[in-house]
Amino acid sequence: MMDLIKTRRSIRMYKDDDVDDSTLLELIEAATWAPSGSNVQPWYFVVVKDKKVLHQINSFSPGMFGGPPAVIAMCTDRQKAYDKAGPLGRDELATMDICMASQNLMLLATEKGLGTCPIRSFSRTAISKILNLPDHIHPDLLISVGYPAKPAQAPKRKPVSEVTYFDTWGVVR
Amino acid sequence: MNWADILDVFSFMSVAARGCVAEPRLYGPLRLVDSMSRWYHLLKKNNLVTDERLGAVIDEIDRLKYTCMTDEEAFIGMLDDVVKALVDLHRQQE
Repeated sequence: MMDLIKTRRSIRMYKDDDVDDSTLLELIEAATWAPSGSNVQPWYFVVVKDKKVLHQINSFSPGMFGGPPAVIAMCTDRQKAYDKAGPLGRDELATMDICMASQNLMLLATEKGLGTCPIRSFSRTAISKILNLPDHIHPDLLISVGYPAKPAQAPKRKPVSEVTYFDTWGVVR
Repeated sequence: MNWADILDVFSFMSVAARGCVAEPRLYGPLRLVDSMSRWYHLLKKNNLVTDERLGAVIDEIDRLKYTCMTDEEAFIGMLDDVVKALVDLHRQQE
């Protein structure tokens, strides 16, 4: 598991090779097994493989690079989150939920030899319109998916000892 | 020049501008140099620019722009190198 976690990289250069639907659905299944606040499971996923739609998304997503053959729009139903968990559910938990779901998806993709990149640099207004999302569905992240054209270098990580305290802030072991 | 290609770059730049209101500080310079790259490739596609020296500058941008997310020092170094290279191109033009 640790190897898998360390192998995942944000990929910004993809091969043209198609990613088949069954594989993408497996990734989404992994996403749906993430924890969610109050078990709301606020997520919805829009898989985009149509080249015209991908092109439109790319035009309104400055953070999307490398010509991925597929994009998964990771969305949340904010109304559903509010109905079950109030303002906290709508404003905070739904975001945390979709992030945990995204990590599940990206780790399984890594295991399958796929590259991914989570993207928030996009226009929510444009993406909602392009994907015909209902008003209560919030596009939180786009995840590009495809076979990496080249391996990506891992950025340095801060050592665990630098970011960890025990029992109370500032206490190290 | 193809209208759809121009629209793509305009769309990119407008969303980039909107995004920069709240995005990380270094994304502003990233979007600017990425816009340079997009314009260059569009002009090149239409045979409106043929200077290989400028192409080499853009290649460096494309090669190093992602360091924005991983290596701030390398990214800022690239920005400085781009400026210096463009000064050289100006000098050569005069």
